[in-house]
Order: sequence, then structure tokens, then C-alpha cells
Amino acid sequence: MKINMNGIYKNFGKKEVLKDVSLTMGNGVYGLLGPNGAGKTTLIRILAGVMQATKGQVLIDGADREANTELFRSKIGYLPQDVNYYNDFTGLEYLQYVASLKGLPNDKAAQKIEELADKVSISADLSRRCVTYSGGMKRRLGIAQALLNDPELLILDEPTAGLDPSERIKFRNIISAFSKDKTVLLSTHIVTDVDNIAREVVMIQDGQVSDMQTSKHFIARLNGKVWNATMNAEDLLEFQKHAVISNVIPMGNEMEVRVISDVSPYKNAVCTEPNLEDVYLYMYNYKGGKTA
Amino acid sequence: MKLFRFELKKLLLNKKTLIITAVLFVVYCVVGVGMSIASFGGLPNYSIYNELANAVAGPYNPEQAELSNIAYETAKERWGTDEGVEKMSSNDPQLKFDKAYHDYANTVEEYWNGPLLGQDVDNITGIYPLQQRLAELEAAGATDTYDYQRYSAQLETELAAGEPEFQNVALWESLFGVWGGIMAVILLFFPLSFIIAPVFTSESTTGMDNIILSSQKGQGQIVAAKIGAVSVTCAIIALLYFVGTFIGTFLPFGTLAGISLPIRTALTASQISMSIGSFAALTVVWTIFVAVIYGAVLTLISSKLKSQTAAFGIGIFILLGNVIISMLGTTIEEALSFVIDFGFMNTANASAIFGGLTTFNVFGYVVPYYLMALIVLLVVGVIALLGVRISQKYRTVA
Repeated sequence: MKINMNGIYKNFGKKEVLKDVSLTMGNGVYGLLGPNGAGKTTLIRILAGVMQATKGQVLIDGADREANTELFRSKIGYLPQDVNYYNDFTGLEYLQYVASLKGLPNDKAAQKIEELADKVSISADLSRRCVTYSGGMKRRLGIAQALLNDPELLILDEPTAGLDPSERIKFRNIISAFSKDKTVLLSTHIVTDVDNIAREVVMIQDGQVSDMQTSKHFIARLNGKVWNATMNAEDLLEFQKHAVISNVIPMGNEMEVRVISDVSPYKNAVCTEPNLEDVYLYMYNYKGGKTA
Repeated sequence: MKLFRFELKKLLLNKKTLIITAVLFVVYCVVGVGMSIASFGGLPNYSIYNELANAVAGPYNPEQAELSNIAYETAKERWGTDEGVEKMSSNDPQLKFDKAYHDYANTVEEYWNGPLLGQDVDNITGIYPLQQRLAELEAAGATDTYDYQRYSAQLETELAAGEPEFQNVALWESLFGVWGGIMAVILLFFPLSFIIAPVFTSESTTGMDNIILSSQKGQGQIVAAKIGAVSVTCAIIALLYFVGTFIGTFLPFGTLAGISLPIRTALTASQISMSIGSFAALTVVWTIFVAVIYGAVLTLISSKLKSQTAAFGIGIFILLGNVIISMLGTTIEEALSFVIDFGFMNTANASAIFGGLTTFNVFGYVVPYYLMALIVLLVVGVIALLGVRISQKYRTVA
């Protein structure tokens, strides 16, 4: 599946939330990174077809999505950011309900539910009411519903929120396996989720997106801008007022501080290898939040 | 069908709504018992009344009318008003009987001579006034007018029904009192508003709109499933309303006396000739139909809003439209008479729809109230269904 979002604008009243957003995606996992309020969820909702863009067009394999919305909807799986489940539905009933919404025949639905429940480790809890699930289980249930119809396009909005580290790793493995011949758009502000599985990454801020590039490309742009410095706690308090710090490790009386800076930020600073988290901080926090 | 089953679970077959429904059923039974007790104050009183009524059951008896009239007027002098007499008669079966016969005698008088309080010149009733009016129209050569047609039809209906007879139909009078008007609105339509209002708004508040609207069946079949669930819910709650009030009302009486008598013995007028039992069945079917149409309207409102409270509030506003309009003065009331005639408070009252003699002039044709109400409600229902379909097609999460 090839997806083109062309010149997407979205206004809420006078507020312009998305400004001329254009993206192209083929098969693979795509990471949508940005801080809270950047416009990620709005962009995701427009792609999922649950929100209308003020202006712009979404093309699926070159055809306007609006020409055949039902066909498009049959090909997508969507995990929204916030879903509260129905009070009286068990996990099984919830998945059966979503399977009905997706038009799955009974036998196929039963098979997929069993398979996905096993994958996301909720098989033993399917007969429980889903409002009694923990936050992580609710998220896994949400991931299962999104995958029920074997979607060609999987849209995930903050999918790992509430998952513990092992669950996040498991989730990443599921998505990686799933994405071989599918398109996955993964919106998050947890950089490691994207860093590990995304083929390409797009950064979004104030409703505008950067070029879509591999994470290696983004990381390469930060070569020579990430530093390790050692300082005491008092100096750190003063230093952090003017610097973008990505990590601090206590080393006895001293602190090892990872700093993002165009020039050497401290007297003993040593240049080090950047990662995607550094890129994220550089783009969104550098000198008051201006995009690099 | 699967979607319908799930929608029904969300709307009706869940713990919260089932508890509400069980409570409603108890309330319906209690209201029924209350109505009977308010009417007779207990089974012994009813037995005495039954004996008195059965002794003079049948055609109009002028001697009994004279006796009952004297007893009624004496009581009225003592208790002040007709309502006062009614209230005091609940523990006095003799007075209850005298009042009933007095009222019956008035009905017979009105059957022949029209309303005791004077005719409405635009809506003449009574055999003699109708005959007189028809003769005037014939003399004026106005036999092809709407008035001539409707008065002819009305006269024919009245003559065919014949002079009312006195019978003991106390159970049915109590039941028809509960089964219509403000009682039905408060006991049935208010709870329905509460139960139906979240049908779409809950999808918004839970965030499930995201998943529904992005799914294959989320714009088309979901509407049919929700409308189906709403209709079944309305029908079941309405049926419980009738069963509960019937059980409650029946218990103190302990008899179905009068079930096969003509409906004219329980209502002052009727456009349809049928037995009391058949009319009761018609009332149940009609009210369920009105409830289903109201459910469709409320579903449309719910599909346009994101707040259950707002949907509920608008539903109540629509139900009380008649009362609200009548508070706005005569001019507005007359201008909005169509809304009053076909508002849910009126149409939910089967006794008013089928029991009166009201007709409408539709392109010169005489259309009885019940037929007109049926057409209007069907049109409202179709508009509501189309509205929900369109609303869901363009529904978004923000």
C-alpha cells in the first residue's frame, strides 16, 4: 500500500493545528515523533479517516481515499490514543464487537481473536470485563483489536503508553513481524520505540513536519553535537539553565552529563556518538524549542 | 445481526440498565396499585360499587339519573368541586356510583345535544346539533364542502355507535388514565430518554468513536444496529410499562369485567368501533409504535451531540413541547397547534388519538386524527432514520 498525504491543513477555529503537511509512505514502519500538542494525534486521526482535514488530500495507491472510504476502512487498523472500554464487555466480547465492526466472519474472527490474544498475552483474561484490566492490558487489548482484520495500514497512536519495558519489547517485536509487507505509522514521544523498529522517521512540531528520513540520517545530522562532560552538582545546577541535557549519571561526587550543543559546552567536554533521543531533544528543546 | 446483539447489550442488556428496568417495573406496578386504591380505597368498596353498577347496567335509566344527580349535587355542595367529590368518593362506593351515573347521564346528554358548556362553532358535536348544521349546509347548497363531509361522517359514526350504555368499566377507566397523557410521558418516555440518550454520545465519551468510524461497518451497518437496538429497547420498556401498570391496577379489582363491552362505555367518544379489550391491545401497540418513533428521534439527537446530558435535555424539551407552548400564550399556541396535535405528549395518548372525534382537512378530505397521527409519525420516523444515517456518515471525533 502506498499512502500520500498531500498539503494537509487542519484548523480548529482560528488555531492552525496542521500546516501544509505532506507525507509519503510505503511498506514498513514509520515513526511520527513530536512533543505533546505538536499535532501528531490530529494527523493520525485525519489519516485514519475519523477527522476531516480543513484542506488537503489523502491518496491510497494513487486514488483519492474519499472515492471509496469503505474499502479504505477495510484495510486499516487503528489504535487511538485514549479508549475507555464498555463497562459490561469482557475482553472477548470487546474483540468480537470490533471484529463485527470490521466485518469479519464468525469463524475467522474466532481464529484471529485466539491468535492475537495469545500474541499480546491476554488469553487468560479474555473472560474478564475489560474495565478491570490494568493499563498495560488495556493497551494490549487495543493493539489486538487494531490487528484483527490483518490491516494493510496500521495506525498506532502512542501504543506503548502504560506498557512495562518487557511489554514494550514484545510490542515492538509484534509490530516488526507484522510490518514485513504492511505499512505501520507509529506516533509516539517515546523515542526508543521508533529508534528500534522504524524504517523512516518524521518529526512534527507546531503542526509542521520535517522531511521523512531514516533515523540514521537524523542521527548523522547530530555528529559532533553530542558531548559528555563531567562536573559537580553545583556546577550542574547552573549549567542546565543554558544547555540541552539528555542524560545525567552520578559518578561519586561528580556527574557525567550528556549535553547536546553545536559547540563544546564545557571545559572538559568530549564529543560522543549521537542517538535518536539526542536528535529529538535537539530538535524540540534546543534554545527554547526552535527546530534545528 | 452480530452488531445488533452488541448494541443491544450496550443499551439494554447491561447491569446498569437492567437494574433501572427492574426498578421501573416495580414503580409501574406500584403506580397501578396506587391508581386503583385512589379510585376505590380497597376491594370491599369495589364489590359494593360493582353490585350497584350491575343493578342498572344497560341503557339510560332516567329515574336512576335523577337520583344520582341529586346525590351528586348534594355531595358537591358539601365538598365544593367535582374533584372534591371524586376524591371523597374513593371511600364511599355509593357516592362513587352516583357520581359515575351522573357523569354517564351527562355523556348521554352530550351525545344527543352536544357539550353541556356550549358548542365550539368550528367543531360541532351531538346528534341534534349535527343534524341541524347539516340541514343548514344543505339549504345553503354547500354539500360539497369539507364541513359537510366531516359532519356527515361524524354523524354517521355517532349514530352507528348508538347511545352510550352504563356499565361497570372502572378497571379500564383507571388503566386508560395511566396509559396516556402526562402519566405515560413521565413514567415511560422520561426513562426512555435517559436510557436512549447515550446511544451515540457514549461512543464519543469513551473514545470508541475512533475505532467505530475507522471500521468498515462503522458508518453504515452500525446505524441499522443502533436503530434496531433502540427500537427493541423502547418496545421492551413500553411493554413492561403496560404489563406493570396492568398488574398493579388489576390486583385491587381482581376482575376483567367489561373487557368485551364496546369502547364507548369507557370513553366518551371513539372513531373506531371495537371492544374495550381490543382497544386496550390497540393502545399497547400504538404506544409502542410512538415510543419507537421517539427513540428514533432521540437517536438522531444523540448522533448530533457528544453530551448525554444535552441529548437527554433536548429529549425532555421535545416531550414537554405541548406544555411549554401552552405557557407561551394563546396566539403562539394557535400558531403551533400542529406541533401540539402531533407532539409526543398527545400522540402517546391513544385515548385521545383514537377516542375523540377530531378530524383534519387534508386537501379537502376528511382524515381522522389517528390516521393523520400515523402518517405524521411515520414521516418523522423516516426523517430521523435518514438523519442518523447522514449524521453518522459525516460524524468525526472532533
